[in-house]
Amino acid sequence: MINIALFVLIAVIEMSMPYLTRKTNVFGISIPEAFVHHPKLGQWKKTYRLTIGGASLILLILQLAGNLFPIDLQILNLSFFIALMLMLLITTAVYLFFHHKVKSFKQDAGWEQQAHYVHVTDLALRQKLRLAPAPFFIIPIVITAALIAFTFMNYSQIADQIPIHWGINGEADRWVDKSPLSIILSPLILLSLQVFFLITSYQFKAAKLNLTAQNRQSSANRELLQRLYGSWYALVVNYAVTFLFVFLQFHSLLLQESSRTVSLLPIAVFLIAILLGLVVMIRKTSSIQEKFNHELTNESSVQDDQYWIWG
Amino acid sequence: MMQIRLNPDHELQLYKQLANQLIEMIATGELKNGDTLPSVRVMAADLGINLNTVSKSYHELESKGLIELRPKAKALIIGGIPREAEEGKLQQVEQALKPVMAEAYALGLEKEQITSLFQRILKQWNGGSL
Repeated sequence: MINIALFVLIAVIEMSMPYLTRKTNVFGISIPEAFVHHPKLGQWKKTYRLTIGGASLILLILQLAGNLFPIDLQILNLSFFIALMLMLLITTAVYLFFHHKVKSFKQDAGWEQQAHYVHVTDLALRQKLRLAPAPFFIIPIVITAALIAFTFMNYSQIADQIPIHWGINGEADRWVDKSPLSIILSPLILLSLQVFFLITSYQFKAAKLNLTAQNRQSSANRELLQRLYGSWYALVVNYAVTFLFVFLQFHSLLLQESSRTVSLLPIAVFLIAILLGLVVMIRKTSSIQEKFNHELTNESSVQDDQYWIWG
Repeated sequence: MMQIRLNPDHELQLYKQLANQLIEMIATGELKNGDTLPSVRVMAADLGINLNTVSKSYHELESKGLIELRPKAKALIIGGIPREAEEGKLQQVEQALKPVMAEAYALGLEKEQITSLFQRILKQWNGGSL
């Protein structure tokens, strides 16, 4: 079930990708501000969304169908992994296809020559950035360190077999031998996630400001709000994931009696909450995009296509 | 809003445009004495220009005595407060001003017109702390 939720989560992110980026950047190609409303761009974004959506749906149905038959769990897990890889492969291929399409279209239409570039920034903007406080991203790491220490302190009480996987009915169905590494494996995964969130929180602060030449007020607004929402979402997910991992660690290692079954409801609620949070985030983020609806001149802030590396 | 806007098509070089706009912000009081400027790296990234261009700008401001560049710290605004006129500084300003005023006079502007132009520009900076 975690597999399916994860798959849907990734599919949703992939599908909405062209709508999350700035309007002046389509499939990794920067678009001069005068041309952001070109109908071709909207059409390609839509085709991308439908293609990825369709492919994910087929892969999802195949996986759900697999769950209905009594197939070995290992094969099921393997098929999830293959499905995920397939989707990422398809996404990359379709993305690259449109990247080159937009690139050659931009060249043929001579947008580059028609645009008049200026360099803009706002010195006051960085002071106005309001983000989730950085120390809040350190606290979960401290918690994990404490969890690892606590696990080792109770080493003798941990059973010789450790459950690492639970079936759809909540029964533990896969086990590993107890060892100093295996008992802290999940806290280590947690730690790497938390470090990732810490780096993310720094990037929300340090990343380049992207102001447009024609919509300076609203692009400044977009920068402020996207970073604000983004950093708080990262913080909330960080704490939620920490809570889940700590709960599972206690459940599977430190409280032996109950380690055989795990209640799926809280985990399902947790996954749905994260997913809903993401959908809300995506909606908010795309709604604070600048509109570009007043009369446009050929003025545009500078582009950085030469630094494109697969993004 | 403290906006900076550099135009590559302008006859002035980018570093000069940046320096001029920062100087004007100090004159208007948008940048106050004791404020700091963004690091060279951040400023260059946000504007999408070369590090060296920003660095050159900052060094120009430093040589004019408007900012103080400190190693491993942000540049500090040291201009923007009234101070005793030094003979050297006064001469520096006079040297810079002379050709512009000469040009205006040579173009045939009346002395009164030049004076009132002078007053008008000064008035734009009255909101500042000077």
